[in-house]
Amino acid sequence: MRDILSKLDGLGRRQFLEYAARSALGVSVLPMFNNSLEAAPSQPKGGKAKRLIYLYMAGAMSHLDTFDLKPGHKNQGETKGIKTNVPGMQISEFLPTLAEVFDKMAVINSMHTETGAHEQGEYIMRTSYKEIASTRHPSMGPWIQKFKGRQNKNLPDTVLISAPARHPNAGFLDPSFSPLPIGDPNRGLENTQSPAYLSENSFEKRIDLINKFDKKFQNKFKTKEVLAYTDFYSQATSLLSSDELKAFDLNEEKAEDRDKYGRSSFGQGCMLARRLVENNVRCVEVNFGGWDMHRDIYDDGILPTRAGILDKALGNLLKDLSDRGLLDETIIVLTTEFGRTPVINQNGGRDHHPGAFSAALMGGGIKGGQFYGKSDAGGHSVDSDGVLPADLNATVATALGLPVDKEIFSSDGRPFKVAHNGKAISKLF
Amino acid sequence: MSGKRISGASQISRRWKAGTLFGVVVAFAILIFSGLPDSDAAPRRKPAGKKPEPKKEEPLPPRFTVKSQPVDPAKLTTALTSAEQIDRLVEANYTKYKVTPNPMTTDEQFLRRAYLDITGAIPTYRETRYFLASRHPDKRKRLIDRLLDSDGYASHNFNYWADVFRYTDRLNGNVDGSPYRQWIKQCLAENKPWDKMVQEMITAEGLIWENPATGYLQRDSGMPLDNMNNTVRIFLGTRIGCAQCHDHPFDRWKQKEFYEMAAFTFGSLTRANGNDKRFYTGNDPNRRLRKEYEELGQEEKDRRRNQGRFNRMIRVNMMVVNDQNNRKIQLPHDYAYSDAKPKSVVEPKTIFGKPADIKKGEAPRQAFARWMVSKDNPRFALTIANRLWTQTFGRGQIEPVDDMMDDTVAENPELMKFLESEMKRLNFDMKEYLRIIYNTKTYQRQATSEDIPLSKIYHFPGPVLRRMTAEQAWDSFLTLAVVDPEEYREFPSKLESDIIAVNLNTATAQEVLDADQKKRDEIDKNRYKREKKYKYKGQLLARASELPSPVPASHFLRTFGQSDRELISASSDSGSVPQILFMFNGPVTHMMLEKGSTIYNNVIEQKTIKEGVDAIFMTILSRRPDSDESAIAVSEIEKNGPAGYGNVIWSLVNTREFLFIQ
Repeated sequence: MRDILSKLDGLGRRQFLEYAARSALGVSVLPMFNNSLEAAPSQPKGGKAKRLIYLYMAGAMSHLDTFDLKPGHKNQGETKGIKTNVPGMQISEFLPTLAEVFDKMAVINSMHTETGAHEQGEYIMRTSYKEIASTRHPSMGPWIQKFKGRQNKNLPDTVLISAPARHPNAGFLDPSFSPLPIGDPNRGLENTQSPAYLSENSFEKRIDLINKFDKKFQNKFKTKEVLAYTDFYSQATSLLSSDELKAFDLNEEKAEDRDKYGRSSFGQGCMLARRLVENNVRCVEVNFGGWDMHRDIYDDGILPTRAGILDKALGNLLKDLSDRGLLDETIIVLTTEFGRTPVINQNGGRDHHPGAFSAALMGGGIKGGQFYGKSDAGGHSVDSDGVLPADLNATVATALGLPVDKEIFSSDGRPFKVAHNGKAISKLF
Repeated sequence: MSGKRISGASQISRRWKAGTLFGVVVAFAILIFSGLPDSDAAPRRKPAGKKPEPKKEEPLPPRFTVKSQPVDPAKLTTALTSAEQIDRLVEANYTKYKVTPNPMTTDEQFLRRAYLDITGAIPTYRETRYFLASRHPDKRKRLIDRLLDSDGYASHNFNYWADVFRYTDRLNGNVDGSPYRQWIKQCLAENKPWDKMVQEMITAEGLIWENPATGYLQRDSGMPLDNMNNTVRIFLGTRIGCAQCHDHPFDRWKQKEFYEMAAFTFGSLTRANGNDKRFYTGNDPNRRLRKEYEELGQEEKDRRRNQGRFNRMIRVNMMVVNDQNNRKIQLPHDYAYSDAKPKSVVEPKTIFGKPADIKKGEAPRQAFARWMVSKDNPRFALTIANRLWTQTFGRGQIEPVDDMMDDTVAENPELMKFLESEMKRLNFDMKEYLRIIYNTKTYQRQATSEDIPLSKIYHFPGPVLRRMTAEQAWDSFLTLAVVDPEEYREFPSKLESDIIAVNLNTATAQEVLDADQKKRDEIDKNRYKREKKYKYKGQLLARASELPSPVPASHFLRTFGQSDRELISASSDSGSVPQILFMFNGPVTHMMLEKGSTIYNNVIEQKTIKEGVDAIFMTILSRRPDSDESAIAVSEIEKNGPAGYGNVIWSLVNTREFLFIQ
């Protein structure tokens, strides 16, 4: 491939790479093989989910210490298994709450990806595409909006909680589809009170003044970026005058209910996600960093603490959504960029490992209480039913009823699909 | 920041009214308009006479300030010749690709852009008035030099590099980064040649307070492979990270080549071993001190409470960057290619350019650093030349700046070649290189007014229209609100290092514990007192480069896209609703509209409403209003009285014209 590449000029190479990425050549040769061998798969049902809660474990969550235990194998390390509420199925002892609701979880232990670099891995997980210089691919929330139109008048369709600055956001889609980011869930949406000493004039009048002063500039610079800001101004304006603003305020919740989720930023983020989907926000992503455990993984504050926070937050989110009858129409994704090395390193930690890792799907028509796919005995590589990030995203898109085969063209005329060439996993529905 | 603030709306209103009357005092403004010689910075006059003098000048808290190195006046002629050469090369592509260049910037546009690009904040009212009034033919050249000479240059560029280097105040579990942070700032201010600066970062040895450049390795403590990946990406514009696990799918790098590169720094550790005789004369000081600790006879309660602090203090003092030359890297156990066996030892070897000769007895990273920063390295000068071009124009000659391949072609190969050769001719003098770029006609053209898709090749009819970076937006807000936003500076790291540095060979357990206590008493406990005067509604009103890194997720800077410092160059300039809410109602917007803010002071100096409106436009947008805008603003103020001023200011801050760099 190197030789072919070197003969192409810059643009040609990019197009070729795009092609290569699309044909899954660059992503991995094996899974494409797998896919083509599958005898005419029946179209998975899906379509039950109306909303998405996406939980991202940044830094790469160790599969051996969470959902893919290898009891008795030398790679297992200190983590032990515990029984779940599904007979015969075990997960990590650090996830006791999830063990109680395992019947709602479908865990995939055959995830694998092409890169062991955080940034690129995160990008592929969120977009199904490899990160390239010539375009930005959209993340799932804006894709939903693209296919289904904007759902809420005042609230945004997608909210990101504690997301990194360089999130793919709306990618090449209209920048006004960009998610609304919340830095700290405890603070919710901030700065919603006007300075007291501005005139009694209605807010609208002041907005009108902005537009008068900005007319010359806006007439000259009609770029997408500038227009997007204009759209954010109107989104902000309608949100401020709406009662639904309360959806962002965790102080509306009882203190003991908030305690259940854990007072960590992630716990509160999960609770905020619940409030938002209750208010019909379509996609909420909650990020939880700190999984990059190169050192002393079993020390207090490292894996046991992280996993404990995840357990409390997700466990209670599942219970609450289920109690409210919302779980069937809300799909929850738990994922990460790659796994961690099965062999514990000289510093007592685990390093980056794209060969095999775990993810989980819940609600939204997904059949719970099952493990899908297997890694090999030592947790090194995928043994059966390999799932790439694109396949995971195709499964999520299918659950949401999005057309996975439909091509959408970017402004420069290149075709893209919601989950690239991923294949939805029909067995999960 | 001056005086007490009043929050009652009615009182504020009265102040505003009173202000417009007091404006008579400042008739001398006319003097300034008539055009003074443009020699130095606009004189910083004391704010209007109405302000009560502070009774007793409180001493400033300890501050770390940089010492800036000015550009050399003698080099200007050469710089201008180079600038012309760049213009000729750019124009050749205009002809070749039939591109119509953008018109030249007006003085207003140029002034604002130069301030933002060089010092990271908009100009003040006074600076604007001064520059626009000047009729000096060389006023643009002089402005560029003056801004390059200012401390703002280091502040603004620190923000850029902190994003690239993923700088965090806690570099890892044990090391406080502030010596490194201040070292980066000082390197930029004194304009240390880029090759020297990088070489020091790669080769530094010792504790961070002895040798702050060790911060670069400490940031990746325990992750030697990632560190090499980062180094090659940042300094050589090349991504070999994929080859860490397998042959690179899109570039030519093989996994073995990655390991050969990593072999250069694999033996460079960030923590000293207690038995290392190079550092410790007796037994492992860790073991000795812990034993002594148990014998201190503390109450059980104290013993427990202090144990963690004590251990940490020892660890901090053992974070010595050092080389274990016999520590060899091996291929992974599952190495899958036929060119070597799994787990076989790999010797250092460079991926391109000349080989790096390791001299007898030296650490391999010394040879690696020499190889990397050499003028012979095919990508070192190229990468920094392209990075600085990209920073200035909003678009690279090569995009992205850190993913070059063998067949990468610049937009304008002759130009890229010239820029690279200039970087070498200047011996990696970044200020001088930027001085050349800022003096080009190409830079001084208006920003492009249409969309430039990432996939389209851009021939530089002028700079790209850019949204302010998070730091530029924050620092510009401060310029509107705070009279002296540069007064607060970060705490000098030396004051802390002097306390926590313990000689582990001789110290007793009690001395270690005392050092920890002293740090708590003298540094930590005084933090609140140091910052109090500079805080408004919990926000520390200081330049972005003086704030913690990373700032909390809900901070203005993060909302506007500052990186969380986890990944290289992870900042963003896309918009969002919370940003708008910050502009509408954020604490700095509140403060800007209160008595004592910069813009408040500027307005109360004026005689008439119309002049007040002029001052507001000049302060916020660095230009005068046109007649329509002036009429709208004057009528708003006449109708709503003093609160009308607030409405006009609030509205102008909320224009896209304010947030974007033309």
